[in-house]
Amino acid sequence: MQCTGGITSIEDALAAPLLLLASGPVGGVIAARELAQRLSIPRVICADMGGTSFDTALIENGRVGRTNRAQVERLKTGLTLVDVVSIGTGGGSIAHLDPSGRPSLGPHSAGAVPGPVAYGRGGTRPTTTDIAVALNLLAPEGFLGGRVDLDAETTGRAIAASFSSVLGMDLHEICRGYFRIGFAAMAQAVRSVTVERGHDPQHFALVSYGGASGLFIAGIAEQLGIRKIVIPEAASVFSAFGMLCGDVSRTNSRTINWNVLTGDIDILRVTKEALEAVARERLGGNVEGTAIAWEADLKFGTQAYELTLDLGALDCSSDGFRRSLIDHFRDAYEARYGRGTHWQGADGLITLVNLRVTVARPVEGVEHQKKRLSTKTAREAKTRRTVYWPAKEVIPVISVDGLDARPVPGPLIVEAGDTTVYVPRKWQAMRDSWNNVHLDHWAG
Amino acid sequence: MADYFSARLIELRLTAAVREMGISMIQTSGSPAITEAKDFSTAIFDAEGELIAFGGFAAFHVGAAIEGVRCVRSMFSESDIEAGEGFLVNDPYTSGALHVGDIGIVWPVFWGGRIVAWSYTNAHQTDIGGVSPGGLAAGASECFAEGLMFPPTRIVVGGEFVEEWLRFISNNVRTPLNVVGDMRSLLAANRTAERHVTELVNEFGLDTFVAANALNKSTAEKAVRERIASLPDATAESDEWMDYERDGELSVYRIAVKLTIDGDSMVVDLSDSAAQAAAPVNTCRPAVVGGIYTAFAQKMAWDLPMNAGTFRPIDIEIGTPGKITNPRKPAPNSIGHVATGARLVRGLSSLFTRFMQASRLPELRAQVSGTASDGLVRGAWVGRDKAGNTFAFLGQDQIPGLGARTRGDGLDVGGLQFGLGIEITDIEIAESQQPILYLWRRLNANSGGPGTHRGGLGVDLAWMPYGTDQMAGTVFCTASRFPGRGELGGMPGSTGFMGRGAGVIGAPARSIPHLRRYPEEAEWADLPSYGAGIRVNKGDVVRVWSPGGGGLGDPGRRDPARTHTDLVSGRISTNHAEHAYGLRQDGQTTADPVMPSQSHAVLRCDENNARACGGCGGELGDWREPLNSVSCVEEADLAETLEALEMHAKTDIEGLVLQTCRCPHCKAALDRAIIWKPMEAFVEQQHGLFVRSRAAARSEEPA
Repeated sequence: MQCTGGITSIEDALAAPLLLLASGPVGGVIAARELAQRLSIPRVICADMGGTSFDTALIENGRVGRTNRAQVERLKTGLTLVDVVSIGTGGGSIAHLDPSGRPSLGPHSAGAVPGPVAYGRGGTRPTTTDIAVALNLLAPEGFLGGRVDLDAETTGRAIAASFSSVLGMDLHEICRGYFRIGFAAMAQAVRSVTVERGHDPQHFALVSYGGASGLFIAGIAEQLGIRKIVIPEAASVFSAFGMLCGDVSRTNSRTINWNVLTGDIDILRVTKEALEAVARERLGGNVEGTAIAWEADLKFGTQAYELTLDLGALDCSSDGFRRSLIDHFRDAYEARYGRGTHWQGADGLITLVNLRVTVARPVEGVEHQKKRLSTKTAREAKTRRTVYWPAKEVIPVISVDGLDARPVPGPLIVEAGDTTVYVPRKWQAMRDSWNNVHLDHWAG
Repeated sequence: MADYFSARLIELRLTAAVREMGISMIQTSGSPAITEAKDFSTAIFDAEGELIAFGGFAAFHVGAAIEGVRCVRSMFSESDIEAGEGFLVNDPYTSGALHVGDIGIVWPVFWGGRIVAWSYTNAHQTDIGGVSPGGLAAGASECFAEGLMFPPTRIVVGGEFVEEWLRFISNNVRTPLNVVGDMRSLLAANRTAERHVTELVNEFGLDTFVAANALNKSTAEKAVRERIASLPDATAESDEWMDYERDGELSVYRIAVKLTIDGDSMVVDLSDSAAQAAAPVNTCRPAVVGGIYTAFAQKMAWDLPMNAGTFRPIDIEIGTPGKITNPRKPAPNSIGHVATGARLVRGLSSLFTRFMQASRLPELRAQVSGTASDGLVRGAWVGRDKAGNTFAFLGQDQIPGLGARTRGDGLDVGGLQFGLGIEITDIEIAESQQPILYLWRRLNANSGGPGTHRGGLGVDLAWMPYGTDQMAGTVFCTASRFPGRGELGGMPGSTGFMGRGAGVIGAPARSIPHLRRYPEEAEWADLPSYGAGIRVNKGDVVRVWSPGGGGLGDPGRRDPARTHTDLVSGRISTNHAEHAYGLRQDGQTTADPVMPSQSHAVLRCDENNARACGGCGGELGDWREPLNSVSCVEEADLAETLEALEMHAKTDIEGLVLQTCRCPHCKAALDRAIIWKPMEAFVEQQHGLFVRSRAAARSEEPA
């Protein structure tokens, strides 16, 4: 799996190992794209929360959001890669007071060892997971499919001891506060891949995977005005599944610094053909079923950052090509940076910096079987539990096996073995025929 | 009402907002000063004009942000301002800028028909008119020569720029497309702030928003007061010297910084500084405030929130009108922020270091560091490329090294302490946008001040014109004669300056390595530390040595293994290793290393202010008394000392002395001060201003 989202060969990976950067998180994004196509959801935000981090990315009409000139830690690169924004908030993130006494969550993590206080493996500092335990959102017994028993009492004592006297609040108020900080941090990461890139998150659905995200996902959605969430089956190993779904692809690009008004059209055409030929050859010659995508990075004169446009619909040999390209750029620019930000009267400065061609073909042999739900157990395994989020109340807890296509209204907890899903008021849960859990906002 | 969590949530969102404002700037700007060097800043203020979030890309700008919003609010009443209006500010005298080259837009955020917040974004422009490009007029005698000066000016009305103003500005600057483009970027950033604040007030309600901001300010204030209270009550002074030259005449100005700690508050007093200069090294109030706040935030509050509460415990006395730190119009000031302002940051940082040594809080003692040079070496160049188009660019990559830290050596090419967010330009980007070709850019060997922990190294770079036959430049090197001092027995770093190899590139070269051979062996003529109209022709090479940071602790105690590593990596030369650290070529060493954990405990101070040597425990009197009254004092000529260490330094100034105080018991170096004793060649012309004429300089030269 390459950082662009396509699959490569071992030989090509050895020749350019940098392209394998971040392939794990990218796998999750590709799996989400697969899922979105199957469910016919056009716009998707991926949300992957594990033990130490929360990763988010964007998919629009089957196209994965990408970033140019990616910065890897402190190193600037010329790479174009799947735009995954990562923050240090996960299940193991430590809740603490910073040096000025402000409540903070992460980025320090308790990791697997010693882990959260509730695991009873020697952890003493409260984590996100402990906050959820103290709010009674996680099953005390049989957490992680029965592998861990949670110690709610010790957890509550550890949290109260750390914060009660300083903040002057009781245990559950403290936990609710930290929970909200967690939502805010994760919602902010989602804003980075949507709002900062000129998209309104309200028009997207969330695909939520990674072991820890089910508890938070509805709260994040509410902060962003998102009304649809899908939690795939086997959410905790979803990224690995994605590695099996990617297309086999090769991308080839060249910097041409081509002026949109005065550049020679032939240079564009010849470059495009040459890039395509090389990409095809590296993919293994002319094979049936390949798809070609061509894109260009454009900017005004001396700008340092380009905007990437999909040129799929434009024919560079047509008469109106230059005008269409300029209009396309202007619209995309103002969509991203706002009204009045386009450099008026500066069409002559618009430069097509890079031309990029991707040749791809689907992997053979990946099939997804529709499972038949066993409706026999539906709506049976139901208990009730007192939770303290968003206030003290008694709510139903059901197993994911007890969920089918008929919506069940929140508040509700759905236990799915490797993940726990909290369904708030005004949301409802159902399960589709591929075993994905859907949460939909239905009021207002 | 706001609880701790609502306050925290609102603060996190405001912090995200100022960051996102910066992203809007970077992604829409066409100027390397913004996209690469990040020489801009973003901030949000509450309805009363108090800072509630700061982007901190160029930390120094916090003074400009605070003063800019204050000036707009004092010039216009709220009833004069409509939604969708923005105010242009760039005049240090009337609208709160560091210098005219930084253009800011102050933007009121309306909600429910009233102003609930203010946002501010500013950025260094490629040009603002005036006698030199880039708003950096090294040769100016009056502010009128430095560029356009806007008092708070309504430049956006009804959400759109007033076209007449854009045409006026375009007509008066060398790079109209960049400047107008960047002004649109400033608006885009302020629009981002407006969207975030509106969302926050909608979500939390105005009352909670106001209460949360108040709580966040008092949280910050409480935290910094606790730190200030951990320092001993005392007054300490530090004299820094600021040099400026024009037509061979050298002027040296005293920048006197006096810091008084009194309980949980402090006073920074600059009133004994020199009279104002007839040169652009004066600093107006915004840069003074920005410098003091930055030094404080860097040294004492690096991990605390930055808002109006952070700075409440600081009182500032900038001196009577007519001082270099409080000039009267039309005193020029376009490089004052990086000259006098940077010196003030350096002097104050050194004083903080002295106090923090004696703090009762271990986390403050662990942050003690050598002083950064904060010397800027910069050139602004103009000319015509081969196609006949005018170009103008600013060298943005001459970043100095930082001071040595308690935890390790100083960061090489770490930046300016007053603007740590400022970054170094990519060579590829610079070459693609500027008509120059780099021959090399590498670490400036021997530039880090020797110490138990070494100061960070500066940069050594060389470039030649490429795609043009000639260019003219304005250059300035703000720390070419007075280096940044070391602390706790550490040595000063090198100074920074520029040189030119005239006509060194001979026959057309086949490759860059081939080209490099010419200047490696060239004779370098020093460029003046301040100069305008510097010609660089085809075949010439411009070379820059940026300064290094000061060392920390006695270099005689440096771990020889680390000295060896520095030697092998080329950071220091063989002679430097021997003279600074006692590492001889045969591998023998006279160094007496200490464990790293001991290295910062050079001095100790107990609650009764009794001072003791951290090495041997010997008594050293009362902390409030000068160290040189109770220790063994040695004096050496600074120029000779640096020369012996093969450290690049301009050594044309007489009477610079390195004073070393050693423990009378164990002889460890405890302090190394740089003291200037003006010799006869210098005449005190006005208070704190010493001048050496060109004739006097000549007569000093040995026959």
